[in-house]
Amino acid sequence: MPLITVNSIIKEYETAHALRGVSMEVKKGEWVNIMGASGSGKSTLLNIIGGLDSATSGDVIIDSVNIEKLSEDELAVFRREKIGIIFQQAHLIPYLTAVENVMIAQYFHSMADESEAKEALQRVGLGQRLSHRPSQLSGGEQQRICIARALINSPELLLADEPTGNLDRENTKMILELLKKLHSEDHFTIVLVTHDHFVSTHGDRILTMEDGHIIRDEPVNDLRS
Amino acid sequence: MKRRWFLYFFKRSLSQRKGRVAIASLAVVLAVSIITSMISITSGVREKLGSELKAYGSNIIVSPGRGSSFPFETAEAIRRIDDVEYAVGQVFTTARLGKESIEIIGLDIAKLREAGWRVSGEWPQKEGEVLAGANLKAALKIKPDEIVSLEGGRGRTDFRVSGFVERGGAEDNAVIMPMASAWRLAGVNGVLNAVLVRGRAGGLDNLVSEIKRGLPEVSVKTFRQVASAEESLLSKMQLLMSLVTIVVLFAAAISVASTMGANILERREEIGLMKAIGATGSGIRIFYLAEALLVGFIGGTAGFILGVASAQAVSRGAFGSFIPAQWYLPLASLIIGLVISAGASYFPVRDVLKYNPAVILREE
Amino acid sequence: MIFEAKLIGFKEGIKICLVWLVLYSYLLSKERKELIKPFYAGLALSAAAAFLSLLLPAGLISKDDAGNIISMSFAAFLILSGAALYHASGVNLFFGKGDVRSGASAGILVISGSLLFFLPDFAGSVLYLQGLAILKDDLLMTWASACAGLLIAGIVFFSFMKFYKPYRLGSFFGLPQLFLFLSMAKLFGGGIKGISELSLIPSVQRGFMKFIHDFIHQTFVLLLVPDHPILKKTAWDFIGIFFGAGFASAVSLLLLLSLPALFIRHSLFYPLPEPQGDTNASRRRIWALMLSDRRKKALPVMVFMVFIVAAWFSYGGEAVSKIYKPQPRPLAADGGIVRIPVKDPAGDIMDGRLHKFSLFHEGEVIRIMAVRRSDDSVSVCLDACEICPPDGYGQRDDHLVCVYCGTPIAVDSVGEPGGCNPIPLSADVGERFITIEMSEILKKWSFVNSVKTSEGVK
Repeated sequence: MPLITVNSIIKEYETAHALRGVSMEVKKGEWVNIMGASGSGKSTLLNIIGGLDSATSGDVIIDSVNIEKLSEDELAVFRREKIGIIFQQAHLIPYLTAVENVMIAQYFHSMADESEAKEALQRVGLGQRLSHRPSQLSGGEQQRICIARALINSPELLLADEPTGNLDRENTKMILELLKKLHSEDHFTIVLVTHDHFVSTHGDRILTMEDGHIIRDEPVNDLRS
Repeated sequence: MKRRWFLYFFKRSLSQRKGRVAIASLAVVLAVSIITSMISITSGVREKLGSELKAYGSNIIVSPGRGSSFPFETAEAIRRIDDVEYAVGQVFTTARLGKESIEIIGLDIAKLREAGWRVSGEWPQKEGEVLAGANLKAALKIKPDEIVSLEGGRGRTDFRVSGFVERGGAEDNAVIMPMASAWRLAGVNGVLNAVLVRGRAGGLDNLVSEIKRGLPEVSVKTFRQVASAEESLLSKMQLLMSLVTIVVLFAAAISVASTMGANILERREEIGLMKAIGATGSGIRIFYLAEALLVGFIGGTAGFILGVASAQAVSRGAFGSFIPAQWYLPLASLIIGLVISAGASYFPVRDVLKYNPAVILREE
Repeated sequence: MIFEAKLIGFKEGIKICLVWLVLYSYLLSKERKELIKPFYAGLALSAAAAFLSLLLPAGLISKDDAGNIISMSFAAFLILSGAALYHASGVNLFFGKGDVRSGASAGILVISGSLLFFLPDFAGSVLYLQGLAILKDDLLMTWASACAGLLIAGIVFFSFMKFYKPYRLGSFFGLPQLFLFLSMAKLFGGGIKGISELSLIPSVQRGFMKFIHDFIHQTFVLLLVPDHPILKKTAWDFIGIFFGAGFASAVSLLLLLSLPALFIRHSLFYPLPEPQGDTNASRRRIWALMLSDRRKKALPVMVFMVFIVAAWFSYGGEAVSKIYKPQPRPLAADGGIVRIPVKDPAGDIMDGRLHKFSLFHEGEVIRIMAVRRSDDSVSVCLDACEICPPDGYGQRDDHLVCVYCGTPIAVDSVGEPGGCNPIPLSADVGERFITIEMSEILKKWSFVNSVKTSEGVK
């Protein structure tokens, strides 16, 4: 039984089709990269899997729940329980410190726990910058807070939308190392959207999208060779 | 504990945005203060008019037909008519006491004693002694036997307050003095502004026509006629006031709504993010509701103070007297403030919450 | 349509609907939906029994009895709620372990509960409606009006449920909260008549005043009789504080609030068990669920406490309302006989208010009082009892109240001898005059006199 089953998803905007019938599966513990040019629909697919956006038609079954059928509040519960999201822009709340930005995810999930949040930031290497505001931190540091926040509620599934898009090579490597560690040691299921070929060489499988379709589905190793 | 964490994050959200909260509160303050002073003046005027009619237990008022005064002898002429129980000639003027403008009523003090008035303290015995109304005593903290310095048309004169009257009428807001003193203060002589008449019950209409026959120059009205004229004036005024209030309320609501709305639109990204990490609509709404209630509370309280103060200023300018306080006004101001600000933030938050988080976050 | 009948129908209807809603939501949340059927059965049984009670011979159950039955069923509910609280704290009070989950015993519990809850009110309403029908001389219209009221309540409720299904109410109710809700419904909606008897609060308060009086007063009387006069006076003044209406109503409020307060303490401050879970997140989630659950359960209790305090303030004022104390009218003995006119320009004995008369005898003032009872008989007593200093009585609603100790005495029981009752005089109540033998008055006055001297009180 796959963790994610996407069944002929169609997403229409007023002017254009973003997804024209996409189907895919992701197994538990798998790391899948979605590649494609901008406008190919890869971010839309990720948002629909994460319950951040709704499809025009089709089913998304995660952990045997069809999330397209959930109500607004049930979807919120689904997101807080099952999904951890890493954005291209870290989307941190500007008036909260690093540790509070993690705590607010705990708060909406159940209740805040400061020591647990501190520990999570130490794990991503930000133990020294707990009470800094986002504006006082570099892009790489902000992105690491975002990862700590995504992981804090022990989600089933980690979604990353161009997590390194705004970062230099140095920081990109560090973020990818972090993801690799999460994947290999904690067995997180990861779906990552990128247009960066270097990023896509990490993980198990690459889906390539074009114009709202998946045109290729191949293991990472094949690509290397 | 979840509730403590709610307060924690709520305080944090305010700490960096004090200026925004202050501006929104200011919008509410303006709205509430205007409405509060409107309500205060309207209902204050009603009570004032009503109280003037209660004066002296008289039932007919004789006032000058033309001009603003008639000769002193008019009162004597009325007094000679049969069926007149008593007739009190009055002269009205205003004088300044320090910064306050107060009403002065000049009349024959002996007539008051005959009419059975009661005074706390002493009746004025000699020249330069006056009575003060109970409201004045309270408002200006006048002590018995205090010397008050009144400034009228003819310069400043010192008077000793020998006693106080409390009648539940207009005289409670005035200084009452012998007619001669009032004439001297106003710089006139031998004139009256009105004669209050008490006719024997029953033949009031006859008495009115009898006075008119004897004194064709004056206007004679029963108090019932005066009351109904005042009532219709008052209801017109109240209609006007309530129309203005509605317009102001509407304008104020819009200005508050745009201020609060701008605040919320500014925080769209935050709302989208909260949704993305799993907050429910009500979980987000409560933060904005709490902020709106805080703004409404600050605005309502400050608006009440400002509104009452401006109402008093207006009434001193327009009527030369204080407006009695309404007990419900603080509560009404607070409720208006809370409703305006909660209503103004409810709709923008609802609109932002309608979107999927992906749609909001993509815009940034 | 007869308004009173419609009102009674409406009130009972709303009560049934509310109880149904809360019970059904509770059962849904506990996944025991099938237990709503015994509730219907209990409801139907109550209605049937109420109508059967009409067949009983008239006068077998008086108005007072009916009131007492309602009060007792309320008390039973309070006791049951206390037991439920105890039960919920971990002691399995009802049946053996796990027995409540067996269908049969739970069903019996629900049937008897709803019988206990509805029967007294239904019977009272039916009795009252029957009386009303006789009074209005229109049997059909009375019952039709009552049915119309019931129907209106039903329509209002069903249209409400059509648009808004508040079944999540169930998560706010545990067993103690359910019992508390039921006793509140009983307390506020338990009267027989229309609005005037909507609440039992005044009777709870009077009942409490009567209780402390009977208990403490009599005990002290027993203990203090052979005591020294001066000490006794001090003691009486001290005890007097406890008989005051203010004290009684304050204590009755505390009494009414004590159980809800215990619930709050139970649901908010008992330590929670340490949550078990694989991850920090799951432990946090369980912890948060437990916290929110117990806060939810505390919420209805707090609402009820607000209700109790509000009702106490609105009805408490009535129960401690001003006491009517008439001026005694002077009387004179004529040939060993005292005659009181039943109706003269100075007053009408039959007007239902208290009338007092004073009689000079050898330098003393003897006060006599007369009051009409609800059966139109007149009771004549001394304005004093055998226990308290002779400060006399005042009238409050349909009670006389001892001025000294605040004991309420129902007007209809005035004329019974002993204790705190005013000392009755045997009198001949005629059409125009009430005649009393002077010797009778003096004989009874000697009780008061002896008390007075032994009390050492002027």
